[in-house]
Amino acid sequence: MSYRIVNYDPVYNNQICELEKELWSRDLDINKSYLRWKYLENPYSDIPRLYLVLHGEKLIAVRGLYEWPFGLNGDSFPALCSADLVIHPEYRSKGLYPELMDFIMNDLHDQGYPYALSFSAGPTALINALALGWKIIGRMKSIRKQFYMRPVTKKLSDPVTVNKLIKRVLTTKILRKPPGPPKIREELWRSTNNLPANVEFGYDPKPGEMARLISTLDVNGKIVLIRDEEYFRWRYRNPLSDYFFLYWHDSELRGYLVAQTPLFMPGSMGNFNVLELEGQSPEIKKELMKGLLSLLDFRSATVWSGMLDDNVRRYLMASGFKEKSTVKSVAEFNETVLISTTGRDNDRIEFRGLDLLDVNNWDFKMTYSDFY
Amino acid sequence: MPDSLKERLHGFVKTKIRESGKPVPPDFSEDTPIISSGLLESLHLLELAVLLEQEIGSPLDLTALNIDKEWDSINAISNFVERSRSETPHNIIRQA
Repeated sequence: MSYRIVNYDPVYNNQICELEKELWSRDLDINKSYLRWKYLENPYSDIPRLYLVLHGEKLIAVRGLYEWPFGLNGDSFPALCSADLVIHPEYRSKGLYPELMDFIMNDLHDQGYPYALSFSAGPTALINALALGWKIIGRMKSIRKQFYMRPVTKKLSDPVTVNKLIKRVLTTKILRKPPGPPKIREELWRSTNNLPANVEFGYDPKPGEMARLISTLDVNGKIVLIRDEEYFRWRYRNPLSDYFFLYWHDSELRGYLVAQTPLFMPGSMGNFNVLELEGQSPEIKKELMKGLLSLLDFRSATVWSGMLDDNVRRYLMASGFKEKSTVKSVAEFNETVLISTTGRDNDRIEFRGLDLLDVNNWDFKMTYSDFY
Repeated sequence: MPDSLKERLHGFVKTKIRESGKPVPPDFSEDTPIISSGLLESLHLLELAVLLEQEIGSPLDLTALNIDKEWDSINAISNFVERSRSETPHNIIRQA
């Protein structure tokens, strides 16, 4: 089969968005917004990092990469994170994937990018990346709270409210489809009266204040994503997700939490993922999580446990969060972070003497993954 | 049902090659490269991984795995399985 690999060209926008219906949304216009946000408005990429495979003028595969600047003690290195791989169904099982990745890694190497990362590898992507020589940094362990059953069982113990509850459950809570974002927003907004005193709710980021706070936090010698004002202005405009923010402040911002729910994944809507939890003390972070729990009646929440201080984690476990069951097979893997050098030498993966294969050298946040 | 590991691997690999719409090479042997040659497609690697977990009887240790080398032929896979069976199961992946 004769095909060619080319860099992004806007002339293929429609075909890209059609092909990505498999991953993004079924709506072409929403996909165009997502393409624009992720690849054209991305403040970290001068050019959109999309590699296109063409058979004639027909787009048969796409692989996107988004750039994150990682930092350590004032020093930084750019890494490209792989994303959005789709191969047209008629062209699968024809050896395209390894050839495309080989082309991309050579191209990135020529452009001076030392490493490529992957934050959202499911089982198939994971095994295939390993077959191409990628290495595992670690699997992001999650803890999760299901909010659905507890309020129901609690209320069932009160016979006076049973009939009222059944009617409410049947008509508004369980049997209906998940509410769309405006409904979720309304319901969240109504719950904000229960927030702890210093915690403020919002639908918009506060880029300047958040960036200032981040610059004051100690990262304990770990590698972190550099989150500046520009990052906060851009990151949470992703049209495939809805976000809300909790801010802990007195005279100034001292902590914040970012929660996300997907807009186009029916099975996951109503589950809120904690993408960032930052604060000047563990107590502030705990208050923010307390605020989150007070908002999420009849909803679920998930957080990567590696993001949590010990006392916040203990608080969440005592509040009903549970670890996902142990993975028993490679087919159950998800949320695995992978790394590869773009050159041929995969034995030396380090930055300023720090082993990049050691998960303890990184401060991973859920927000690093484009899945959210 | 095939009774030896290598026979089972032969059966699996040849079935997957045919499923990809390719002919099994006439000189296919236990030393024929199956991944680096592109004979085994990326979509089938996960199925192979699950099969190997069943053969070994425990989850794979992915952090220590060099798929491109250790799974690139039936002989290599067979050695990998035999070696893995004799090792004590350990954590399958680092977690954060």
